[in-house]
Amino acid sequence: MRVPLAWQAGPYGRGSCAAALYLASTLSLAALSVPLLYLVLRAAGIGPLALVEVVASAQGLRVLANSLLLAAGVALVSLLIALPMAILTARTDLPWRRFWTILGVLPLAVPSYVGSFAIIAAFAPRGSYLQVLLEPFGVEELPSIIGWPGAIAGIALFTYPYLLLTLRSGLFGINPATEEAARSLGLRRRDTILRVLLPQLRPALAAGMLLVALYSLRDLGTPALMRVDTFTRVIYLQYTLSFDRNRAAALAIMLAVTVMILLWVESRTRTRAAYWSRRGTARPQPVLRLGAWKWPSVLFCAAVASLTLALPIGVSLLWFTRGVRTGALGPLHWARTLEVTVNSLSLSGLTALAVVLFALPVAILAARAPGKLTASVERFAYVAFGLPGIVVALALVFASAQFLPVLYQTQVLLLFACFVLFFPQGLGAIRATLLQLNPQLEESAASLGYGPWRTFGSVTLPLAAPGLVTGALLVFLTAMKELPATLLLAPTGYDTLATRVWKATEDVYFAEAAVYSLAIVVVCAGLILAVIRRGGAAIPVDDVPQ
Amino acid sequence: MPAGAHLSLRNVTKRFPGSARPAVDRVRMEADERAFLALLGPSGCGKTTLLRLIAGFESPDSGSIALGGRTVAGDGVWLPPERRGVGMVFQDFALFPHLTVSGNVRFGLGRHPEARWREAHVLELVGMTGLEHRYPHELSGGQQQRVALARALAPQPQVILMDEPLSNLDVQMRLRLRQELRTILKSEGVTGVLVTHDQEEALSLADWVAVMHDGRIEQMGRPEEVHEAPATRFVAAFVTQANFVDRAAAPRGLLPADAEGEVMIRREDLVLTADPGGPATVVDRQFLGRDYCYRVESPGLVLFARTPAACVLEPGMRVRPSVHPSRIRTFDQAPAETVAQI
Repeated sequence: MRVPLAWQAGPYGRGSCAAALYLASTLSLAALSVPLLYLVLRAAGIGPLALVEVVASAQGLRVLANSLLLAAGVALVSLLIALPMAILTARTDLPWRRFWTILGVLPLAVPSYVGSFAIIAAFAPRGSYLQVLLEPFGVEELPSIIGWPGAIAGIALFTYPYLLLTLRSGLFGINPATEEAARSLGLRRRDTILRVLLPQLRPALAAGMLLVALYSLRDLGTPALMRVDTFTRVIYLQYTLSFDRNRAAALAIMLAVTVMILLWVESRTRTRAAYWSRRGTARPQPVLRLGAWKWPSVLFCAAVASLTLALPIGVSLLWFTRGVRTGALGPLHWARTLEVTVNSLSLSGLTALAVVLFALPVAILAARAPGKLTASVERFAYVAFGLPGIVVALALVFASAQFLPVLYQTQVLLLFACFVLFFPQGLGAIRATLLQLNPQLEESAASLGYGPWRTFGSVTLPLAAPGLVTGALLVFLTAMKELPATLLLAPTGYDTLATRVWKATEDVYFAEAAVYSLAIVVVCAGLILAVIRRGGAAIPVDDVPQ
Repeated sequence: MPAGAHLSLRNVTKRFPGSARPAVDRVRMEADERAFLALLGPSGCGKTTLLRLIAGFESPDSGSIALGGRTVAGDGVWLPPERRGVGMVFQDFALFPHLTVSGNVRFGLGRHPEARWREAHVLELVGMTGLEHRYPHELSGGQQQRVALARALAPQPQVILMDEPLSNLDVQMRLRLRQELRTILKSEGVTGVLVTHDQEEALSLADWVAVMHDGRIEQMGRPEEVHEAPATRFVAAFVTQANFVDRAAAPRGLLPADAEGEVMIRREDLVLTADPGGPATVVDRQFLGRDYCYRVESPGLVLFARTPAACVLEPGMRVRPSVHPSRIRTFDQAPAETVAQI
């Protein structure tokens, strides 16, 4: 006998509700696969021989080496900042721990191109603040910050928070009993850090460093400003200057593959990390007394905060006031700033809305009725997370020019690119929320006579709402900072804060760049503080493990 | 099948993908209106799956389920849970955290004309009057369980299903709620199905007890029947915790000469007599209030005996265990297929 209908997806497995969920998931899958499919198509079109030629060319190999070197440098510098900060804020009697934790996370509000612009303005060989400051001592010219040091600092200083967050949750996942055992076996407290804590932290270290490395491979702003030939910069230059589209596409494919390999390694270490660390223990973590190291530690945190927050904000403010004083900034700029800010807010807002709207159905199915469709959406989302903005943008430029010229250089295409780029982030946050929801709540509603739509409206939605808002805020935050896709896809004359910062720094209108930078940083810092206030696992700054 | 059966299951089978044996295997079962039935079995025996099949959270691979004379699953019919009129009480309560006690209880009442009255009635029934405006996290475990019960009862379901409703509570609360649960269900006149792994709970609460093992119902009967006349060795072992003694290992004098194979001796039927030349030794003694539970060992055999408190033996003493021949039971060997799988 065949059972005609089944309770497969909890309350959501049947009827019009299921149809809507599956439709939304199918559309998401289709959207996510567009850039990937196009890249594959393009690679086939270029042909294996020509592809190998680009990859194995002197330029190809140099770009690959540069990108990997940058990624490694950024990961290392991030480690030097994040590891001490993680231990200080999670495990010691550092004064004002929560304050330093929040300051440690806030650099996420500073896009790397804003930070890099500030670094150049502060440390450039001639005319920078440092040089002007040192001029009375006979310093005519500083060693150039442009190049490797600037590129590594410009990314590491503003992406290390990802590593900091990973390390902190790794620290909270360690069972305090292991350290107590070590102490009972005769180890001094400080030795337990080296011999017990750090070895257990290794998986979190690996996962966090790979994450930071991934971000540096995707970054366009800093390598471009610091003139380091990484994939992103070379692809951008190829595309805008030489019009050798096959070369740009081949390099994009090369970058995509590099990122995917890194992503694969990252996923391997992450699952091992999850396997190693136990879920949070209720017992408080042992506190290491800093003693004489207390104030040097505070000084270290303050130094990090001044480089990552005070520097970009301070430099922007200085240029801003100088611009107002000299009349470089006038009423025309205010109107312009307002218009561009509205553009940024509406693009980010629409992206967040679209992502939540489509990620929610996928997350419901993934949490309640995992099947082939949701598994492929999740897999595609994971790969899309690895695709750098410039690759997605390039794929969409070519694809639209070839198949749908109507969409080329429209805001619709730009919104679509942002959707593809940030869908994975939204899905992750929303899925985590739904997995924490007890499915028996929905079963209770069903046993009390509620059909799928009513169950959704009266149980699932109200309970998932906080997670949805947090997910939307995170997507909003990342979309505000987005640069490469907007640069390539924005219609002529359409600007966001990010593209205005970029163009202004390119043309050395520092006062103008400062206005837009300040606007981005203020909005993003507000978003981060909002997410922190909402609590939860999105940006955890409190000591209690989740 | 009696025509009057309120809940009836006919050869219900459910197999989950990837598992060799069915979770529920050709189960036949009936319950009359207003009856209180306990599904008793060890964890993994399929009792919760059976409950979820009745509720409509799972669909049977074959067989059929009828509620109040109407087929709800099987024979080409499948009614979704929200249209079955079945109340459900979950093991971890599953109260809606975003709603107050009142909101939870009213959830299933909708635009019921007497919703207000009904809410007040069920809250009074479970003793929660006055706490209407509390949120679930502001309640103790016992109070949460009461609200869960009130919520399930409010829409006047045909059948109320309870999945280990008392297992998440501490012992004292469990004993108190156990008493109340039966009174409440009886006063509401609702048919109840309780899933539990606690034999004492099943025997003391229910009108009927169905003992499940490996997806099948091994015995269904009145609590006294199941306790006094277990149909299989499994039921005897699980429900009565009796001693099973192999003829070969039995100390002299315990079993009559004609006994064969394995015999069952209840703990309360075993008589211990102090005897310096006896074949067994008292190893441990537990005082249980009105009686003692002794652990007695002889070479190759461990026996448990429950004796009146007047029978005082000290650990280390030699004893002679005995049993009245009429109290000895034997079971057939386990079916061949079971042996083959082991």
